[in-house]
Amino acid sequence: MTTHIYFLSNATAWITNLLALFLGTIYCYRKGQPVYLWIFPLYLFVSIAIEIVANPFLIPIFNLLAFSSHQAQTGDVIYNFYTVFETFVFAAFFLQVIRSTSMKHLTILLLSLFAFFFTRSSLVNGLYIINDPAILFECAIIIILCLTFFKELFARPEPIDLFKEPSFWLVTGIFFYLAAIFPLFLLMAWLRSHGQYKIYESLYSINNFALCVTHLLFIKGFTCRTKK
Amino acid sequence: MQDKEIVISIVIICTLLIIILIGFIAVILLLYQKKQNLFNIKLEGIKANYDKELLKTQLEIQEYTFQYISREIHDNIGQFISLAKLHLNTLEIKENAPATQRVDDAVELLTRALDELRDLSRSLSSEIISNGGLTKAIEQLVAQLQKLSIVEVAYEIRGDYQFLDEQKEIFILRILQEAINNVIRHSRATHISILLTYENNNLILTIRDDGIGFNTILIRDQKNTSGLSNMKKRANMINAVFHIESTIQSGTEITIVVPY
Repeated sequence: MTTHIYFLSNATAWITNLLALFLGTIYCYRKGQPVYLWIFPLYLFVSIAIEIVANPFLIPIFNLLAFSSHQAQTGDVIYNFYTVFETFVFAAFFLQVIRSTSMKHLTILLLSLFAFFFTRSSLVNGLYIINDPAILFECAIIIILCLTFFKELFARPEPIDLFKEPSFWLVTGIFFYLAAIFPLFLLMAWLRSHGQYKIYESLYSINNFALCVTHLLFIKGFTCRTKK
Repeated sequence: MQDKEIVISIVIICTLLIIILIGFIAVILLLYQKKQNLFNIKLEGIKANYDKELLKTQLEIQEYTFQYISREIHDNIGQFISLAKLHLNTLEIKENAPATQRVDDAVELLTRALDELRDLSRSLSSEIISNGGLTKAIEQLVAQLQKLSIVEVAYEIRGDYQFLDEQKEIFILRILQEAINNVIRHSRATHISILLTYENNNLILTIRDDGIGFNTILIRDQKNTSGLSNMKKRANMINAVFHIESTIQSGTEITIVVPY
């Protein structure tokens, strides 16, 4: 049953990912749309591509073995690099929506620290296991940026309609996803180290569920009417 | 842990996450809306202050212009007319010559012009307020009106005199002048009564005429009512309550309540 819920959550996440990618491609590059939207279709494309080549659940179903006998280890390597990719994509987005110069400088500093940390932990532990500390570090950095965005939103003198503000929905989606998976990955690291793979797999469904919600919020952000 | 229990836990966690997300979005939207409302109130306050300052400046410029014209009339135009009159009076003309009558007529016209100019200068100038106060200024105004013989004017003061800011007195005088102008130009009234009542907390000026009256709602909606709007603006500037009542064929009553 847990396998079913895992599969169901995975499938739902793929569907919402594809839908967000499709709508993102249509809406994000339209005239008048903010520039910060441009990076999201790329992010969503990479997400779905990684799921196709590296998801350990999808591959046996469709009999896809892009890396044949090394599939499991390669999958972990890909997910690890995907963490870095995701961090930099989100940071690039926040560098465009956040106004504070000092926060932008801090973001670049944190990204540098993250890159250093990831490199060091990969060298120490290897790339063939999921780098949970890197994921947690990513969550911490991006959550700080999300909170900065919300703080600046309230400090802005000019009134804006939040329902029509794409950045609000995108940041809410990112904040929700990372805030949801932060305690999850803390727990999952412990579960994996104690061999509790069944529970680990089940809890991963929550990650997929959070992703679904994030993709839906992304869709809301993409489809906001920004033209006045 | 049983599979079923794990699934139920996952479902509960996911439901909780959705509720938290919805709650979070709702809180953000509500707080932001509250901030917007405060911002709009502040903006309206700033706009109202700006409008008030602008109006104050306009009225100050108007008053300055009145003073300037009054001075010019007194210092320049009045002097020239007096000089012209003097020249005519000192002309050497033989007695009973045909030109004598013409010169006398010219002198009389110049005298009248000089009187009119003096009255105009006095009405534009607010020095009477500085020198004698509002009551004296109104007395002078009434005397000028009675000289015109267009309307009968009754003026009454009730209550004990209370000190009022000079600026307020000037504004009250201007409102009164505007009101009387309107009566003379539009109302076809034969009688105007001016009542100045000094109460404990307020000064009440009532101007009543027996003219043709007008439809107050119709006039309010018309664009070309600068006289009425000027009076209202001046009243607003001194925090006075301006009230106008008029009935067709039954005259008009204007009441201004000015706090001290």
